[in-house]
Amino acid sequence: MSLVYQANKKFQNYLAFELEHTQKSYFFSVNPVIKLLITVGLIILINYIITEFYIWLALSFFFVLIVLLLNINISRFLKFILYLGVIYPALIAIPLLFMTSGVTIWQLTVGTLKIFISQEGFQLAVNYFLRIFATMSIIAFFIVSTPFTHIIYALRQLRIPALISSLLILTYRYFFFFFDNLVTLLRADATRYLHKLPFKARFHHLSNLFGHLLLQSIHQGASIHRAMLARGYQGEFPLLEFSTNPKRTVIYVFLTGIASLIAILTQFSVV
Amino acid sequence: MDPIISFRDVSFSYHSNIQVLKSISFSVNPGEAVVILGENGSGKSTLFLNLLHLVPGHSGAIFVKGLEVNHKNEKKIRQKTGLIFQNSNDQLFLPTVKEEIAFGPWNLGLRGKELKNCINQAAAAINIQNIMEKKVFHLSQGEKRKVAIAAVYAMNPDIFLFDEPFANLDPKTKEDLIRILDNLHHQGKTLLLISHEVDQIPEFFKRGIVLHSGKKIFDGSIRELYKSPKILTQANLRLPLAATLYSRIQELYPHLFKKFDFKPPITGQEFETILLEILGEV
Repeated sequence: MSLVYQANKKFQNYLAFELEHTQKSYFFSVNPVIKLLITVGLIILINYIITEFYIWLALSFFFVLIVLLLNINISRFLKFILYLGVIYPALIAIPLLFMTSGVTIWQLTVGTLKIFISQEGFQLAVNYFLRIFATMSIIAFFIVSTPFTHIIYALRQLRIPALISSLLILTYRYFFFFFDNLVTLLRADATRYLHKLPFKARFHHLSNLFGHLLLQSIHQGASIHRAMLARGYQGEFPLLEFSTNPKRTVIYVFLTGIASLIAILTQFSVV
Repeated sequence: MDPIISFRDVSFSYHSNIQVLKSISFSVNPGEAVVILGENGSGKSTLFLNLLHLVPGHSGAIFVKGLEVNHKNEKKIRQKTGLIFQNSNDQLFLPTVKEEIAFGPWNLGLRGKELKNCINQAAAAINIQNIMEKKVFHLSQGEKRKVAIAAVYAMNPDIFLFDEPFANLDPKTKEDLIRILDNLHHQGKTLLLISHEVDQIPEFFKRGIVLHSGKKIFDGSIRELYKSPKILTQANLRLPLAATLYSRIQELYPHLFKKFDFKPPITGQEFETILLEILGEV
């Protein structure tokens, strides 16, 4: 149960973060289409062109530095990339350490079981970790300066099918309902179960609870569909225009462009 | 005058065995303000859903502005009729207030400056200009209710359907909402309001329809309704507090009323006037 509360707290924190900080960000008013295209370009650059680990590291810290300079809450940003940029790539990189054969640099024998780390495995793990870390810090940089509605706007401008953007909008809204309902249910549940249930009964109880949550979500989904139809839904959500700042857009392009150029030049000078 | 809404012998059931609406017939004239009363589960909300063809499958006929409610006409009818749901969370589905208000007019084909003007007008009419950029999730219940009304208002419908609009609101927000309803009434919009709280019916709703177990058991003036305790009891409703207090005082001190010929009050304000007159005499 406490895991659900924690997940909800994290989600609420993220939302508060998005609300407070994207609008404060210096790059809030940059054209979101350009921001999205540059982000995608940088991800491609990091994953398909750059192969040197120090360039990945330098790029990652470059974006952390921008966030720091732009008065975006750095501790929140770091927390954000801690989950997405450290824990997630570590989960992928750690198994790679032990699963790649080659020149052994460390080993441990437990009975008949032999655990080892090869030089190739170590390199592969570090490469994966840094590559994902760099990618995540770029995504985090994009997210902290772009509210969700701007992202949808950019997707629509880039001719992404309306169905996909509509699904994204509804999924985003649905998170709120889901967590709201879940937390209300859990609180209601906590007020009535004052003693800890036996292990087996807890499973039975939890399955009932989540079954109810599912039914509640289906019911709410049906209501929302009715509300959409009542207001003439024809398969598309409104695409509202908003003001962008050309000067800041130029600064954004300049900064990211310089970073990419230096990264590419360094990469090819090494090659 | 041709009625703007007309129910002719309408019956409806969600599942084959349970009939939610049973042979309902009534008409509403343009610009009229009608309150639909009844206990929980009496079919009030289903009546609204049928009016917009959101739950197809009714028998009998429903007409809105001369158009029969059916699959062919449902889009035209939904343009003319705005429904404000009982639970605002069931109605608001877009990330920000601005987008939520834009949804209806966008579907009506408004774009660019026209769309912007329409959003601003709706926001000004409901007085929510200060929350336009906010996330819907972060709004209070009262704000959500106002956004839901603005979202419907932006489509400029002739008919507004309010499903328990005063539920879970604080007194200040209720007052704001009554003011909004009053403005709509003055603009000549037809208003239908669902309620089971007799004390919360705004004064300008002169006509009431009472439903009980899917059947219409009363259709007439609100004042007439309060003279029929049997109907109120049958529908699990009660007299408004003002009327209850009035009859209690009349019962206890009949001599005070000898000189006067009061109509039983139905609002707090009416009760206050009567009380002041009696106290003045005493």
